[in-house]
Amino acid sequence: MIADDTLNRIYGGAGKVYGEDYCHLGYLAGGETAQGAFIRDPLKACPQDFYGTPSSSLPICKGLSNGKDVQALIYFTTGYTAEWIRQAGPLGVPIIAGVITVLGPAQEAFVQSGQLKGLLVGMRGGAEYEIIMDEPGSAAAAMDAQSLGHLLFILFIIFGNASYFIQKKYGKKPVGGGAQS
Amino acid sequence: MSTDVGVWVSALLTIAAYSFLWKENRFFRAVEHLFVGLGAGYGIAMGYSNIVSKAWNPITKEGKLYLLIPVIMGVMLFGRFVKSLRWTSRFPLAFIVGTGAAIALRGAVEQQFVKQIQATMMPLTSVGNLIIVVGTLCVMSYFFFTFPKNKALSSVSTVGRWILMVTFGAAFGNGVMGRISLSIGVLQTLFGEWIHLIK
Repeated sequence: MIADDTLNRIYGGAGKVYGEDYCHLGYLAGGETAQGAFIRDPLKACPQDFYGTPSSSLPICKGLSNGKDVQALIYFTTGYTAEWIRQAGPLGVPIIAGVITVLGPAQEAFVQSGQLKGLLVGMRGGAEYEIIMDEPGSAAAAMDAQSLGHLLFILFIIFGNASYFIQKKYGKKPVGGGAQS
Repeated sequence: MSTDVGVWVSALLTIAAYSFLWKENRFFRAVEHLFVGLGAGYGIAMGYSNIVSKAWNPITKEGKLYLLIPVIMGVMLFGRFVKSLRWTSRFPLAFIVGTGAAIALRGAVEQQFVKQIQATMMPLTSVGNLIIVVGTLCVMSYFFFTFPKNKALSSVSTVGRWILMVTFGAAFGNGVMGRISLSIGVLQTLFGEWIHLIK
């Protein structure tokens, strides 16, 4: 439902027509098995769209027989990401990923190997995308707050380490019973 | 202040969730239970919707009787709740694990093994390439546990350990950055959408 609202708000707001410019095939349960089935034959895996309309009757799905017929596979995820690479990679479909910040480093290996054609990592990735598109928005604005947050963390780390070594020097047990060498 | 009831509910629940930072209290527990309950409810609704759209309707309206096989296998999964029928759940479970593993392995060998190895076979023409090749070899040497390492190999594996530490540090740093991003998102909702302090 959230996906449907978001798709209609963004694409509908941009004047795109449902069924011709975009469609919503709903949620497909089954994890990687379902992802594999989808990329091999999207219309067979999702015979109906979110509203119950036969997918094959949607103009945007005409001529769509397998994953090779799409120009790019773009996925956004908060979890494990190698499934799409495992399933869509052998078909030669260009893959682009949008992941949360925590997953960024693990995905870089796939960018390096050319298996991912593009990677958007967290808020920083969002801000970079906004700048590339020359449309600075909420992500670019939030980067100031993020940078300030990092500065605060760095200060906390310095303060924590300094207090640890000062307490160690003067023979006082660190608060919380930290490890003693 | 916002006049949207949804924004108010979202803001108050957010504050109740954050109240755990002060101490555990009944508001936090209420939100915790609500969150778990909503998740379970959403899962059940999605499951029901999937059964109707992918099994019930095709079987009853389109006559696709072969879909009865996965339906029966799905029902067999519930056999584990009845002691005398517990054995029936093993067959669909074996099918799920078997097909899942086969489908994942098919792509894993090529995409996560061969292609990742290929990506480290590069000409040593730049500092970046050199770091990748040497770094990979050093990290691999760290995982040689089956024979005693001589002095040279120990030095290489120590470098590998440092590279691993840098990698874990980068991952942790990204983890912290991600949490800050989430906090910023929540604060944007509270101060922007709710009390309109941020435009």
